[in-house]
Amino acid sequence: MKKKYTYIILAGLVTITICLIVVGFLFNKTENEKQNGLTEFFDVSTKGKVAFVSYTDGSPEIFIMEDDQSQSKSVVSMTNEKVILDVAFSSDGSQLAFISSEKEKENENENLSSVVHLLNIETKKIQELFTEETLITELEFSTDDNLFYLSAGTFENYSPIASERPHDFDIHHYDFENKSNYKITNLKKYSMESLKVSADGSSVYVQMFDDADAETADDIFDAHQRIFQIPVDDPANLSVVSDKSRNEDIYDFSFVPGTNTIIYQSVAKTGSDGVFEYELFTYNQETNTEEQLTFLGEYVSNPVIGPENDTLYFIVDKQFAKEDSDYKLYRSDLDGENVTPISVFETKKE
Amino acid sequence: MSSKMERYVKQIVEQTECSKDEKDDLYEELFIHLQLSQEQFVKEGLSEPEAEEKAIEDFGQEDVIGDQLQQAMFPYRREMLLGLSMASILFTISVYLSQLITEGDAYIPWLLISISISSLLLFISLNKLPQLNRKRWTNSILIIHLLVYLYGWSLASGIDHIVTVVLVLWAWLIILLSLFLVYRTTLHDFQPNGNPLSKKVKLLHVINMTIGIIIIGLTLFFLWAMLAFSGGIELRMLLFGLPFVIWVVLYIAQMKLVKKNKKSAFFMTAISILIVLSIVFYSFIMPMFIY
Repeated sequence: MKKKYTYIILAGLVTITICLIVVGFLFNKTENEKQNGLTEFFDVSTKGKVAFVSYTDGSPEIFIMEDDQSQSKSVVSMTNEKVILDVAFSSDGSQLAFISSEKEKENENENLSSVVHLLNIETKKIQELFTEETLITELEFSTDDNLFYLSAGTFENYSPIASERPHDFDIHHYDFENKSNYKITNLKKYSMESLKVSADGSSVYVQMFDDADAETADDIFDAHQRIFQIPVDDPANLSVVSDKSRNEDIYDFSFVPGTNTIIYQSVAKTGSDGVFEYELFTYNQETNTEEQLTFLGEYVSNPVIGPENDTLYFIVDKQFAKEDSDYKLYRSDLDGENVTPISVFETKKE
Repeated sequence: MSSKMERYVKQIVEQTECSKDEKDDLYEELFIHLQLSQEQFVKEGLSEPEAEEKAIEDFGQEDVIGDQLQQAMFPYRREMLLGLSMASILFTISVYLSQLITEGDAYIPWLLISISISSLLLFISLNKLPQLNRKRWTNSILIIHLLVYLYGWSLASGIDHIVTVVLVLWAWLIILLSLFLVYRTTLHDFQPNGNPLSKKVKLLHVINMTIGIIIIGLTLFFLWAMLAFSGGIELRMLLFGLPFVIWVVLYIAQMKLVKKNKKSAFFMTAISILIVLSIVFYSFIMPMFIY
C-alpha cells in the first residue's frame, strides 16, 4: 500500500476521533442532568386533582393534573441541583406541601438540609415553611391540617455492600400556629416509610421493621416490615396494625377511609425472569383476611385513595430491577377492576 | 553503506512479521539466492551493476514478494488482524455513541485508548509499522487490546437499549478473536532460530497462557468487587496483583528452564496450576459449603 493511502487512513481515523470527542463534549450530561420522567411522588386531593413530580434533564417540577385529567400544568420548577421528595395535599385540597433537598448529598450528616414548602393551589404562591438540617423524606396532612413528616438524621451506607440511604428515622410534627417543629418519636429507625395520619390526627402510621424484641443478629434478619400505629400523645405505646404473623414484608400502604381496610404493597411472587413481582393487596383488620388486588406482574407501588373513596391510584415501574426506573401512573376501582394507565405527560406549562 | 541488493532484501524481510532471528535467517537465504542469480548474469556477459539490477528485477517487486512471504509463513494472520482492528474501531464508535445517546455519558479516555490500540493493530496488519512486527510487541498490543475491549464489553452491557444485545455479542467476538490471536502468535509463529517449537514447549505455553487468563480474570473480578464495596482505591489493593506477578515470574522461569531441565519447568507449571486452583477453591467453592 502506498504511503499516501496510509496517511489518508490515519487522517480519517484522527478526524473521526476528534469529531466523536467534540460530540461527546456537546452531549455529555452530568449526573444532575440525567433524571427524566415521572417519579414515585404524587398525591390526590379531595377535589380530584393529582399532583405529581416529574424531571426534565434533571430539573424537578411539580405538575397538577386537572380534575378531568385532560391536561397537567407545571406549578413548581427547580434547578437540577435540587430534588423534590414528596408532595401532600391539605385536607381541603387548597394547599400542597412539598419537600426540596440538595441532589448531591455529601457524606453522612453534611449537606442534608431539607426545605418544606407550601404552595397555594389557587394563587400559585410558594411559601417556605421551614428548613431542617436533616433529610425529610415524606410529609402528610391530617384532616385538621396538622403537618407530620419523616426525618432521617443521616444519609450513609451502614454496610459496605449497601448503597447510601437515609437512616435514623423519626416522626416529627409542624405546628402552623406557633410555626414550630417537634419530634414525636425517638426511635432512630433504620428505615421508616409510607407515613399516614389518622383522620383526627391522634395517631400516625408508618411502615418499619418489627424488630423491637430482636436480641441477636439472626432475630434482626428474621424481622419483617409491618405497619405500625403510633399515638401522637403516647408514641411509646406503638402497635402493629397489619397481620403480625405475615411472613412477607409490607411496604407502601394506604387506609381506605371509613373502613377497616388497608391497601398495601408486597411481593406476590417471583417472575419467570427471577425478578420479584410487587402487587397491591387488601387487608381487612377486623377479619384478618388478605386478598391480592392487582395482578400486573410488575412493580406496583404507592397506593393512594382517590376522592369519594371509590378510586385507587398507584405507580407501576415498567423498568423495575433495571438501571433506570420508568414510572407510570395508574388508576383502578377500589376492588382492583378497570386498571387504566393515566398519561400524565399531555402537559401544558403555565 | 549497504548495496542496492542489501537494501532490496532488507525491504522484503521487513514486510514479514518474523522475529529478529527469523528475519536474519530469511535475509541470509534471500541474499544468497540473489547473489547466485547475479553471478549467473555476470557469467552470461553482464557487468556487475547490470547483473545486480537484472537479478533484482527478475526476483520481483519487494512489496509483492514480502507480502507473499508473509502470507506463506503466517496464513490469514494479516486478514485476521485487519478484521479485528476494523471490527474493533467500528465497535468503539458504536458503543461510544450508544452510551452518549442513551445514557448521556461520553467515555472520551476509553475512546482515545481503544481507537489508538485498534489503529496500531490496523497499521501492523497493513504492514506500516515494521518495527512492531515482533511477536512480543504484537502479543503485548493484543493483550492491551483485550483488556481495553473487556472494558468496552462492560460499557456495552450497561446500555439501557435493545442495541445492547448486538453490542455485547460483538464485544465477545472481538475478545475471542483477540484471545485466539494471542494463542496463535505464541504457538504457531514463535520459532526462534528457525526451529519449530517442541510439543512440550507448546504445552507449557498453552497451560501458562490459560492460567494467565484465569489469574487476570480473577484479579480484575476481585478488584471490581473491592472497588464496589470500599468505594475507593486503596494501597492494599496492590496485593491482588501478587498472583499475577508470581505467574509472570514462573512463566519466564519455565521458558528458561525448559531447554535445560524439563522436569523443573513442569514442576513450576504445577505450582502455577495449584495457585489458580487454591484461589478458585477458597474464593468460590469453599464459601458454597459454608453458606
